[in-house]
Amino acid sequence: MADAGADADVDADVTGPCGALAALLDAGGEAAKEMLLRIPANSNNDSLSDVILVWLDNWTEQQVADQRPTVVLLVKLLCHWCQSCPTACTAILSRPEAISIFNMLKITGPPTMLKSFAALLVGSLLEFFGQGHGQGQGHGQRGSNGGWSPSTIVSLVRKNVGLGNFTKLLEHPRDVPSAWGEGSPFSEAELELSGLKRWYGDAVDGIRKAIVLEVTGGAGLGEGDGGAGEGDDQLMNQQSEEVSEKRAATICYNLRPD
Amino acid sequence: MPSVVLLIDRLLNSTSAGDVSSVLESLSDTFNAVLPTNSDEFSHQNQTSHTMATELIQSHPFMSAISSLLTSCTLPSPDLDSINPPPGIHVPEASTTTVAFLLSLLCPSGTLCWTHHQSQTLTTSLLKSSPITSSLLDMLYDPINVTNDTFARTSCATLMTKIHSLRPQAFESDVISTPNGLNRLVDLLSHDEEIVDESVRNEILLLLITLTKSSETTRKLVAFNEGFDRLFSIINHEGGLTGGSIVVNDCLVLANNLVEDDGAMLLLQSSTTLTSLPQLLDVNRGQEFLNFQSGKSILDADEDDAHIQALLTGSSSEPTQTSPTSLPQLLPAEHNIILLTLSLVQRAIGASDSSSATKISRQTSIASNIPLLFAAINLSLSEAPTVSAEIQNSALLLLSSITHGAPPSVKDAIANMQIKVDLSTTSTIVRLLHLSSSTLQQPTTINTNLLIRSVLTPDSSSTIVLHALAPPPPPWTMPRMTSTWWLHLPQQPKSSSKIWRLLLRRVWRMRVRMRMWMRM
Repeated sequence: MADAGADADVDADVTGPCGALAALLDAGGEAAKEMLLRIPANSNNDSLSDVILVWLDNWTEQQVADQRPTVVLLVKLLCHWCQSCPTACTAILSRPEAISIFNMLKITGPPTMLKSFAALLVGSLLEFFGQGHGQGQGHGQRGSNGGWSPSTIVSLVRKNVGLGNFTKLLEHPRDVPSAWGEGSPFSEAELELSGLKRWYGDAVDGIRKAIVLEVTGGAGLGEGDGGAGEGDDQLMNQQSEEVSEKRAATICYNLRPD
Repeated sequence: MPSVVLLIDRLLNSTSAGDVSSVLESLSDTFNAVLPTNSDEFSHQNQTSHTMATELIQSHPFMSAISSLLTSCTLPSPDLDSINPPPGIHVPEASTTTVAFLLSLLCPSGTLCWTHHQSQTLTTSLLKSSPITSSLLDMLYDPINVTNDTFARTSCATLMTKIHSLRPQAFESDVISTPNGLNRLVDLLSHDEEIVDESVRNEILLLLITLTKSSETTRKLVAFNEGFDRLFSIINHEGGLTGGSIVVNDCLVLANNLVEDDGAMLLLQSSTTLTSLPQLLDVNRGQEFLNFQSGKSILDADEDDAHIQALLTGSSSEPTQTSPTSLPQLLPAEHNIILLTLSLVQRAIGASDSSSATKISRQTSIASNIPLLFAAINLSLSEAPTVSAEIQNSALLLLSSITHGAPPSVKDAIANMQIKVDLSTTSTIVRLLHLSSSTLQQPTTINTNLLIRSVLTPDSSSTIVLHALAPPPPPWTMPRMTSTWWLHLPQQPKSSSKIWRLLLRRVWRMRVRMRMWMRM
């Protein structure tokens, strides 16, 4: 493993630029996200997303179990980049190193912020990939590119961790608020943290809708995996439980004497 | 221990001013007594003294006499029921003795001491049995024969603070219900020596801090009674940031209390505050900075101090010499003043849950104060070691609050504000992005990013990314419209005057350093 001091230096170097770029991308919208893809980040004219993916791929290959803030921040930056930007999703999925994101979901151990952000990135790819190509088509008819399509993403998730576990990973930071402080670089500023939690929550809501659409109504069901599997059942059960809980809570609220 | 009945009788039937003073002094001595160390005896004496204090307070004639002595330094005649009552006895400096007696009654200074409950009981009785609050206010605001007796009035304010600490709600309601009660206190917030002595005013400042901390009504009354104007007038008179006066600190603490509720609106409307706030955030007004700029090296002062210290301690060793390159620093008190000022503006914007229309109006109002914005931006973007990380973070959070959810015009005004950094001028947003990419402490980095996020608009973000893709033509050349025009761009030309300015500045710096070395 690399020297701890050097790691801390890298973390400190990356924290600021990642946050600033995320802010630029969020405020600039799709136009800024597409333009940033065209800015070369090294002498090989690779874009920043390519460089990040290669770095993440190297990191995953080393089989390092701990979650370094740098990795979390880089994955989070990719999440900001992919949201509402099909071009960025295509650019990321067109790289062979993109598979390392899916591999992060398989890291053994309890849910961590790294795995949750990796799940968020995969979910964002599922939600926004090919959206621009399928105008007027149903959700399942969105275009595929380089062999990737929303249904292949779902299949890969199902194969790696299962849809139920995937949803659990997505929900982990919402279910366990203390997760934001576990060695993550987000725990210092309250204002930043509240905005970040809101952004994360909104993204997860969108992704969960996209998963349900893909699993229940999409053509993806008929394409490769032959119908809903165990993961789908788990997902459906989990969502049914949540609906029941919410309904019970509403009833309790309505029955309160005051 | 003398009997209470006897003491009361002696006071009420005094025939001369000397008698009255003597009784009051002996009463004070009784409560400030040193009790025997034996625990049983101590406890017994303590209980007896407390009973005596309660009886004194509950005696209506006694408390009437005390009130009269406080208000007019006169002991009323005992035959008030007669058709032509004789005039009372005028006792010079009676208010001083009376306040000292009341202070000894509530908080004895000897070994005698009340439990908190006992003190509270006594205070409750005192407030109920007499118009003590009104009398103290009369004495403080319009004292007869004690116009120049600063000690009496200072003690009076101290006594009021003590009463408030023991029974806050009862005292507050007394002050508010007394005609012009609070207004009279606020009127004494002045830097004019003819209106109020400085030490009395400072005590009143402390009293108002405690009063406004707990009561919304008091906060509103003080704020609407030109509270901010008065406070900032005192702040300016006390030298503002320079030197970090404790009075300025207290004024800012009180202003921070007042800005809650609707006070923010008044703060933002007051012209005195709007001109004073930027000056309080200007680091260059710090004591050491002013000395440095005026050519008096801080080393001189240090050296003098060291010599004085050596003389006082009698040591013959030469004072240690500090590095000639040491930079001026903010004094700890000045540091606190800057933090309090930043907090004041932050509170003026309001909490995140305040209604959006109100918040936007406040944000716009603050953003229109260009000197204030400029001062806050300078603090937040400074990389100089003279600005502590705490101040920098507070300034970054303040600017984030000003821009978060604000109209695009406010965001753009801050993002495009030009600031000077190392002889060149750059916009705030460019400087922020530069800071973000520097290796800073984590809170500073995160707060910088928070500000970047708050200040960016869709247009400005797209423009920044676009400029990274295709740099804009510099303003001093006409771009040649060829496909590779940017390859032929010259480096930024430096005019001869600019080069001269640069050289002169370097020579000046060398001269300053040489002078500092020579003095050593």
